Amino acid sequence: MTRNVKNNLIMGMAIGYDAEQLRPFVFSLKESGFKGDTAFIVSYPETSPETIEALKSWGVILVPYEGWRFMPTCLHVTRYIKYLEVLSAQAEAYDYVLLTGTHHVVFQKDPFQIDLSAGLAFFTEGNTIGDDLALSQGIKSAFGPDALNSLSNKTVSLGGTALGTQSQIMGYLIAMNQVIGMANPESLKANGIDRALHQLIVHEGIVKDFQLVDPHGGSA
Amino acid sequence: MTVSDKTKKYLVLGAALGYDATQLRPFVISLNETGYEGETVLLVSPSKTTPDTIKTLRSWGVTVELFETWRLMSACMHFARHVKYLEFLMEHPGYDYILLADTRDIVFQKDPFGLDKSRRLYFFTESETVKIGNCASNSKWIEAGFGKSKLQALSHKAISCSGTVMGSHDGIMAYLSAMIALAGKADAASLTVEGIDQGFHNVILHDKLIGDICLMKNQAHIATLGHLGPDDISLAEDGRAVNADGTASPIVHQYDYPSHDALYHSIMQRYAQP
Repeated sequence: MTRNVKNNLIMGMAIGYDAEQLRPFVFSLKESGFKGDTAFIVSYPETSPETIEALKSWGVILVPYEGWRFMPTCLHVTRYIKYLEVLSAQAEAYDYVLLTGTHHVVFQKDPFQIDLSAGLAFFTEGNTIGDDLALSQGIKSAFGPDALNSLSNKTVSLGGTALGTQSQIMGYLIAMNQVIGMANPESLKANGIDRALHQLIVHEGIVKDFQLVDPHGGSA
Repeated sequence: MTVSDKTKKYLVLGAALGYDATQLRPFVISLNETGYEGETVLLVSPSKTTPDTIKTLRSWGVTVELFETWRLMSACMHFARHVKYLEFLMEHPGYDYILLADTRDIVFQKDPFGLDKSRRLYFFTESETVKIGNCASNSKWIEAGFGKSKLQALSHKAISCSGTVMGSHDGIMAYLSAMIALAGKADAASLTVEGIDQGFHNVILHDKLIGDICLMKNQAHIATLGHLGPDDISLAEDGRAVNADGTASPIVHQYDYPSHDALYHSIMQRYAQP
């Protein structure tokens, strides 16, 4: 499905990364033909002045974020509340939004050129939760063994990546912040724990009306 | 120069989370009545600010800035607002002079930027007689953040109010950065103590963590009423709060203290919803 992509946003967390680490993301995105906005969440001094200048010169919108320092959770978790704040302040500004990781992502096509008939897409990793030891431990530490048992045969959905209409992405972020409140607070300190929170949202029906897309672009 | 230079870009920045339009009316309407032509930005959060209040604030010319990240912060709102102020000013570096202000208990009587602005930062004292060591709240904040030895060292020092700070963009950024850096050194549990920002504020001032701070006497530019008695300020016929020397401070803060009942009721009546 080809759509008008002029009002789309790609947003990611860039705290702790330098310009060279972010260059593949930004330049591959430009090369894909994407014409929308790219916003990175940054923090001083974890994002150096040189990186700030480079990102600005590449046309990236910078969103300062310092509140994470006072949150008893890892950065992977704290980014979701900032995403929600940014999108809430930009009510209906964008048609579609992609939330994504940054330093380890490259684009080969315009990321919005997929079937988005459900209005919200999550992506699979191809294996099951029970086969992913780190993820299983994360779910157990956040929600206990019963939650792990009920999710272990489900497909792993890629954490940190969601694509949808602005309103549905905001629904996802509200759900994520609710799930953060449900998790064992100690578990939220572990890097990458948001993957566990994301599985709960996807597989326990906390967000409805989404499509699960396999790594090759088809519906899982 | 005693009036704001119209070519300068001024900002009044405050947090309005948890307050409704009626509570914020004295702040906003009195500021507008002074002829202030700068920008007023108030932090709001949809869970703590009703849609009606947001709509009303906008109708009064206020720019509302959404603040949601406080939900995950292990800190009271008094401290958390400073973090958001810093984020906001990083994103909006174009202001020449800025007033950080409490909102619910402030009214304006004249142009808030009507002082010479030759200094990078202006802090404002609460009292010429009451010191940190003989104020229970201020003592608690210093001790909670930095322990008994710091309280002892600062006990004879003047109390400055963290609810009103004015400065250049550069000065305010230095202040907010110092506030956040200090929070990293303080006892982590103290961040949840309501009002703890005032403890940090006074450490910044008295330990000279930033240079070029002008500490102004109470009632010189801002009348902070918490430690003042009924004889220190009176209600003029035109409804203004007048100091004992006959002057009227451009900004009146803490007018809701019980010892200033007449002033409080006068302000409430004057700014009641039409």
